[in-house]
Amino acid sequence: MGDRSGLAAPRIKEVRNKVTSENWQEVKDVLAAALERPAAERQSYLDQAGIRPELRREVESLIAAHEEQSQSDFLGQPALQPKELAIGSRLATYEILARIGAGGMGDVYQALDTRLGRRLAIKVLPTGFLDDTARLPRFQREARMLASLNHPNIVTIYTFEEAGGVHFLTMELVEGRPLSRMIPAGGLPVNQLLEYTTAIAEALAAAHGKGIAHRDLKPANVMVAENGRIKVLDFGLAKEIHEANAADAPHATAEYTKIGVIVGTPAYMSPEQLEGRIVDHRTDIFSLGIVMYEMATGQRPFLGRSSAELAAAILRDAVRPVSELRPDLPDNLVQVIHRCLEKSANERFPSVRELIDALCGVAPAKPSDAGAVRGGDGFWVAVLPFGHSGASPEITALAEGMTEDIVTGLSRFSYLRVIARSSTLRYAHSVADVRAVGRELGARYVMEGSLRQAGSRLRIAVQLIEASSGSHLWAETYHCKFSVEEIFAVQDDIVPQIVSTVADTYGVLPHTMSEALRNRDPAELSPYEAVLRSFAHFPRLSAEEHAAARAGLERAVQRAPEYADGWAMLSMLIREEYTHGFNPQPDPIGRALAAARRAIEAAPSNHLACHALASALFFRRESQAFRNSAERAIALNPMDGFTSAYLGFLIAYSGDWERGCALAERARKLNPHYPGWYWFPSFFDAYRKSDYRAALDVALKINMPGFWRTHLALATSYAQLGEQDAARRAVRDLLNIRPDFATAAHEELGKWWDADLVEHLIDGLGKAGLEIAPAPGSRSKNY
Amino acid sequence: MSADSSTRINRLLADWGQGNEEAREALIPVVYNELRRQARRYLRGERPDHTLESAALVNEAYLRLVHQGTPQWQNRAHFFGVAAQLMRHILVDHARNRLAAKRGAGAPKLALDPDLVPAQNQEIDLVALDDALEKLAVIDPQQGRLIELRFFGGLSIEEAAVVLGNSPATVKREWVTARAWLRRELKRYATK
Repeated sequence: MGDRSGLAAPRIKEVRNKVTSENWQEVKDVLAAALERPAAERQSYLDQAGIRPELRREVESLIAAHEEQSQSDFLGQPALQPKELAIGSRLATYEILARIGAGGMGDVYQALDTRLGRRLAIKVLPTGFLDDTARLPRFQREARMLASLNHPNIVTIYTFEEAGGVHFLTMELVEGRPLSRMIPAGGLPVNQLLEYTTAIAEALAAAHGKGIAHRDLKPANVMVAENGRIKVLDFGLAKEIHEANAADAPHATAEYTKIGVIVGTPAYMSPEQLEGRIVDHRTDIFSLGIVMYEMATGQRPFLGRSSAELAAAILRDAVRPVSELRPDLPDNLVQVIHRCLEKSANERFPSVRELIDALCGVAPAKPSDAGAVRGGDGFWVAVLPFGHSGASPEITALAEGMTEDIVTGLSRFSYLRVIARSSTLRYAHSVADVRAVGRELGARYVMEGSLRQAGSRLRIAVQLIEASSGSHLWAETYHCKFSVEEIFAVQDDIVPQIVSTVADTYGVLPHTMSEALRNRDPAELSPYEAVLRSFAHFPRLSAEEHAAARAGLERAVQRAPEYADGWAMLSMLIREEYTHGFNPQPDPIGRALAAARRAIEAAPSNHLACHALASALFFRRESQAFRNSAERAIALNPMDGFTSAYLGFLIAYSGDWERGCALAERARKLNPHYPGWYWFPSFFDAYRKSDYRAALDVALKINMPGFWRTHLALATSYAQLGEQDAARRAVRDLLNIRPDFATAAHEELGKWWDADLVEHLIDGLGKAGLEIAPAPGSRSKNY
Repeated sequence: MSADSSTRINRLLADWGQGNEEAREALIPVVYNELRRQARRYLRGERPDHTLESAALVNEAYLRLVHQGTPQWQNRAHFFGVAAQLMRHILVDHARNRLAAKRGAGAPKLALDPDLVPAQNQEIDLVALDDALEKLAVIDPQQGRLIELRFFGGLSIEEAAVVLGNSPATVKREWVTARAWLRRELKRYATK
């Protein structure tokens, strides 16, 4: 306001201050310069500033006013500010559904992303938080870093946005309870304590690996989701460790302390944090120590009636030994907790990784679900935003929608570790850039794509690149009709194909990853790697491959007994003992069922677990339970072609031929690299209907010469068509693989098909020249 | 400015003119929100399409409050300056009334619009702050304006810098030193 003539004249009651408009300028300059320095250096600055003594006293009293703790946020928030967001109101494209929490770092809402139709959480940053000019770009950088954290134990940040002056983060919605409300008075059982600690530590390790410290770890920031999984949230205070160590470190640290005061309790802060010194990742190790102590004993190690007392206790007091409160804890676990709580960062574990290793020493067979995804070089897959030509809003929306859907789709494969890039980031599309991005993100594989529109035609090119070498693992071009009305149809049609082709059991990634691990010493594979390694079995279907995969998985679940993927894959491998006769051991179906149940217990919503359970139940002839599990597995991950095909053929054989054949057909469309057995439901469906011409057409497509069922299909359909020579050749091939087939036929066929179809097949084999004695009690029938 | 809030401000001004003190209180959030919205538009460099109307209303509200001669809108800095000062008057008056009510003077009990809340964690004595700001304006008018813009007008450092025609870095320095001065002043006031 340039002119104050129209405003009320100030009423001056008394001017007692020594400061006058004449000397205020001088006082102000010295004060500003002093305040830019760390608190400890201010006096010495005044000594050499050469300021007159009466003005120096003035400056000192102003510095004292500034340094008062309550000064930190004095006038920092406007006198009035908009209250919480109204339920049902809109923020950008998000509809606010409910308020789910409030914290020092802002209110949290449950919201609906109206564009993608998914629910998520929105954290509104406090008014004033980003007013500071320096803070906004820094926070944007941080948000970008945080969005790159993709770990099963970290709440994923999607975007950082601004709408109508409100800055907010969108993030994964976790339904569950905070750990702070789950610790009973006497502490948690040892197993749970270890499981939670390992999961939190895994989350920290992933963040530290990217140079991000949490800095505000406490039980209120750890969610226990409904499925039992730990999710650490509010990396909101985290700053890049590197940055804090940079030249402006004193400033950054002082500012952090300021925020810390606003946040409230210093109960979980490290000594170095309380003293405003430079902190690094080891501050999180201290905080984790406090959390562990509380989980173990139900009480905090440091107590005080005020923040000041609490801070003094953390800085000064020795911790009461955990063992006095929890005599049942193993000694080495007690040592781990106390080592985390060392006042000097140098005395603590140098890294969270080493802490995790120490925990493994406590219970070598007890890492958490997430603990299983440890070690190795990490097979991370980064999905870059799809590029597009032209500025048509539909193409832009389609490119963004496809990227999001692909990320979501890939994330449904629990054995993939996907890094999603915020849509605000754009990378130039050249292989050199892709390699750089891969390095930057720590991703081994990078997927990128582009959309190009020409009139009513749309061309979608997608490629998957190995970041280290820059070589193409896969590239595909999809062509389709494009119109504004069909934009979602295009997305729904193409995205599942891309996802399945890349991610399912016969997909490019499991193939590449398992091949990369086949040459490694099996004993050195982590549980996660053992799961990836086991995929090598499926395209080969040999006894040797089966033995190696099964052994790896057995080790995996021993080391990580809560690892759902490990149990699920083990269950499938045990099932193959029964269905293929590989390396048989007693009671394969009972063992497969038990393993599948362990998988379900560890992760009830894991589609591989449901898949494994369904197939074990099929061979147990528990049809209703089988069907329920099968449909659940398919619904949990409809983009997994392998699950659709395998459960599809079991559904067909259990009597619902229409559904089973449709599932297999869809699976063939999803992933063009499908194996021949995806045709079996169609073959048996045609054969059982005595449509032998159609059956033969399908049998000729199976093309799996090492597989006895291929020759069974050829032999029976040729024979029924009266093509004797071809039928006999097929029988010869069958007997080459299974010399005992004449005696084993009833048992083998009876595993899969009902009595009518078994007799029908035996009839075909008879016509092909392979006489099989009727099983006791079986009916004979003419076809 | 939306037609709704424009009508609402007009009605509240009329009611207030007829001696309805509650109407003045009800003006607080409406005017405040409108000012914030206009401020954002201004600062984003958007065409301030309805600003004349908004300015006229704020102008009128302002006149009623301070009984001064008609201010001429010279530039946007002036607009924000006056707007922030308006908020200051409204809020300080509100605080004085509440103080009077506490002392049993029988002033009407006032409630703020549910869409707005006084900022949390602030136990600032607005009456004392008002006095202190007047002193500050004597020794450093620029700092007085800055505090008004930030605290009463709700502008960020960056926005205030645009309005005051200074660099954000300079404004930040002014902000830090002015806060220290006010803090000390309020403490003296409290111990007096």
